[in-house]
Amino acid sequence: MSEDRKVDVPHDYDGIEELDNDLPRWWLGIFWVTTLFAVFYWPYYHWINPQKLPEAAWKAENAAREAERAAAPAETTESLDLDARYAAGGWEETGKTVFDTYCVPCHAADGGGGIGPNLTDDYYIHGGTLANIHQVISDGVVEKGMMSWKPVLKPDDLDAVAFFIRSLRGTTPASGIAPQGELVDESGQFVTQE
Amino acid sequence: MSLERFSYDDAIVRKFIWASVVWGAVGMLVGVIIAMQLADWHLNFGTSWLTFGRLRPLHTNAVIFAFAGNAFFAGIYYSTQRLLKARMFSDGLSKLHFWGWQAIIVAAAITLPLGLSTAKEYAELEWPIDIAIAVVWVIFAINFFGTIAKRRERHLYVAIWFYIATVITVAILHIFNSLAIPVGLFKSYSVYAGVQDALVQWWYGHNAVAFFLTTPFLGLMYYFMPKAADGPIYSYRLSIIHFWSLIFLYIWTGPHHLLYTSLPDWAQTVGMLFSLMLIAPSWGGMINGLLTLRGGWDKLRQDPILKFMVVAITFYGMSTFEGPMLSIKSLNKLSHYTDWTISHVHGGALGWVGFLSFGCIYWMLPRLYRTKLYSEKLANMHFWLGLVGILIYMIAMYISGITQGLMWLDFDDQGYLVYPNFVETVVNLIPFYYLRALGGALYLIGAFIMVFNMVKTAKSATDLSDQTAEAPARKTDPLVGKFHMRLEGAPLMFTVGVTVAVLIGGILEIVPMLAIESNVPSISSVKPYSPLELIGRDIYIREGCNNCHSQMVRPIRAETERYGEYSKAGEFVYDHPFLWGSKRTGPDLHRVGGRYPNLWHLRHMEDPRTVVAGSIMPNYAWLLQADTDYSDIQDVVSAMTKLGVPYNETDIRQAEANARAQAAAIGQDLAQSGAQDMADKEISALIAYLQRLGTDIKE
Repeated sequence: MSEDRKVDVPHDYDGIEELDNDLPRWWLGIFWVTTLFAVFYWPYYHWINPQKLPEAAWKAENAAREAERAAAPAETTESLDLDARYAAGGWEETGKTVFDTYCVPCHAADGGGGIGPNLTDDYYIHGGTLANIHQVISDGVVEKGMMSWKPVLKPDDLDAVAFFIRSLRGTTPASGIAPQGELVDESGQFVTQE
Repeated sequence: MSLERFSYDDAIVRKFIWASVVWGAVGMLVGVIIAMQLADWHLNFGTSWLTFGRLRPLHTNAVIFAFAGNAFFAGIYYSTQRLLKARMFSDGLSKLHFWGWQAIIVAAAITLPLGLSTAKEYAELEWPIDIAIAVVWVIFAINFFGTIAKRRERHLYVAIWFYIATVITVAILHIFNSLAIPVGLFKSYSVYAGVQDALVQWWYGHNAVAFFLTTPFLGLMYYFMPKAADGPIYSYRLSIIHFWSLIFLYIWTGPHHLLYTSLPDWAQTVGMLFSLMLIAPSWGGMINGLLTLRGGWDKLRQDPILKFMVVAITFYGMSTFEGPMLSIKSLNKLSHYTDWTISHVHGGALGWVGFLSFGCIYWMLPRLYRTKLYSEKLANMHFWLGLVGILIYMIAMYISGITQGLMWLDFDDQGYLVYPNFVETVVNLIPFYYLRALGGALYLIGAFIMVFNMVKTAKSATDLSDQTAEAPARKTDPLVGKFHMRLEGAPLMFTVGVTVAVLIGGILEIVPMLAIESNVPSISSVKPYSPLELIGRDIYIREGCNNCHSQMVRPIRAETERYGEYSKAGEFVYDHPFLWGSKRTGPDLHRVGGRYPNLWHLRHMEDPRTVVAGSIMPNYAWLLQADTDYSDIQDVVSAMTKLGVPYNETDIRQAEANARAQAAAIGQDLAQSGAQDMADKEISALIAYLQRLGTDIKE
């Protein structure tokens, strides 16, 4: 302690003494490093690498992820038509899982509807073919509050839940809500009533 | 040299100490309650007064302004008199300060659960209380500077520098952040909108941390640490450098609360860089505090007071390192809106502010009652319970925060979100919410033990008269020494210097944001809210929805996939106040407009679990029962025009009719969807607001 330098002006700070040691070097080091970092970071980030700014970085990230999606194993959707795959089966388990996770809050566990329409009856607002159902799920019907599920569901899952929903038609829910939309025929086409 | 005899006002110190611990216990108890509410939503009790959204501001205001505020007032009144060798300027002002402050706290405790809130964090209190705060603060300032004026010790010790910075800066922050136009006695609207309001709010918010929870406590540390350790301060020159750099740099750092938001990039970078530069100035205080104990570390083993203080300073060092790290944009991307922030602030609050206050109170108490502390054993028990409590709390929140942050950002190898369902990322956190409540409860039990110990100590008081002292009159010969040494003898110059130092950062950040239009690029499709949407927005604020939901989609793919288009500055130009939020206990709501049918919202507000299994949100059933109050809407629209929102005369005159018509349409839609027509209930106004959110740019 003998090396400590003291403040040599007479004060009375209620008996508190102050030494006057040099600033610790490592402390000064932190101060200089952070300050220099600040000085160099600004031009590095804002002028030399503007592609790192949030909006540009977001665009780049988007492009990279879209590329990942595109590179994923080719989807079968295009090559095989929906009706054939519906008939072939194999989607039941996935379809139910997706339905239970995302659709139940509005359409009820048995498809009887609630906030959203009843999925078990023969009446459809946007048509009852597999293609119609698939499109409503995929793109949503924003003005009616049906959200687009394309960003959330992978293509296979989206197909599976469309099939599952198609399979609900004709079942008997515990307490279904009243039909909405128009009557469709067996294939799901609107029955035109003149 | 003839000595003057005088006495110190110790009664006022005792008052502030008791206020601090009593309010502290209440504030911490509310903290444990709201922690449990997140673990189990039933504990919101189905009543509006006790929901998380209303109690959370009560918790933060109580622990910041009532517990910490009263604690440092006690410490300042005790140490200032002794460092300046003078009794406080006016006993009357001291009492006014004390009772005025307690009245403000009572007003806060009543109004916040009633939902009277401005929605601005740590500044939720409505305008009449804001004015009272300003008045009481000025009373404190007059009393404090008056004492400096009549001081006998000519030079100002470093503790006093920090007190000066506190008194000046808190006044500036409070006044400029609280500027608002009132509508009636209980409601006001921030004069700033959107991005500008956000910047001013976090300039205030972060510097409330700086100048309400840091500088006053650094001042206390400089007085009570050498007293308790019976050692000298390590370095006077370090205290000069770290004082001026700390107060100058701190003011700039507010934007680090707004990284990746619609705040212009330049301001975000300023916030990040100044936060990093703040490490050294903060650590200067830590070094000076800890090295006071040089050569006396063995005292730590016996003395609970030193234990509290040393652990407090250690937490200060950790928090002031973690803060800058969290200000780094790439880390903030992960941590922001999660419990990591909660962990960070509680390290500072429970560790630094709490433990330093406890240490100072244990030190002052026997001296104020001229007796011995009732039980050192209980003080030790308080220390260990508190420390274990903090560690459990912080570790639980680290795990919870990092877990959720990673889940939000997680993509699978096909480029899809792994957890697209927000609630999936919530249900995982429940065990940690229980653990956090346990940590908080241990800390609270420790505080109760302290109160018991204090009561017992006070009962054994031998003499409550004011302590007397002697000192020579203040010298008047010319000041000598180096520049700073002379400055310490010139309080007016010193105060001017402090004021300039703290104003520079604020002015250079905020003025360009208010004055230069390119900082908030306008979007022509963004229109003012309809009258009913304004009513709904006020309900959103009343219920404190912003405490759990952000309205700020960041330009990060995980967010644009989850929520939709990222938020643009121009979308918020009519938002008085801004409602970006700082925490996502629930999902972001900026793009919720049009996402669900009206009926979904009705069911969701009535009981969230009917549409979102596993949700931890409280039921808001009263919104389906209470009638919408249209009585103020014309005044509200009119107030908005004064703030620059372009409504015309007809809009104002027909505000109520418009609101009722829009409500009728929502009610009709609900009825058609198979629910009751709720046109005249508050739920319709809230639905109107929620359905409008973030939709203007879609046109």
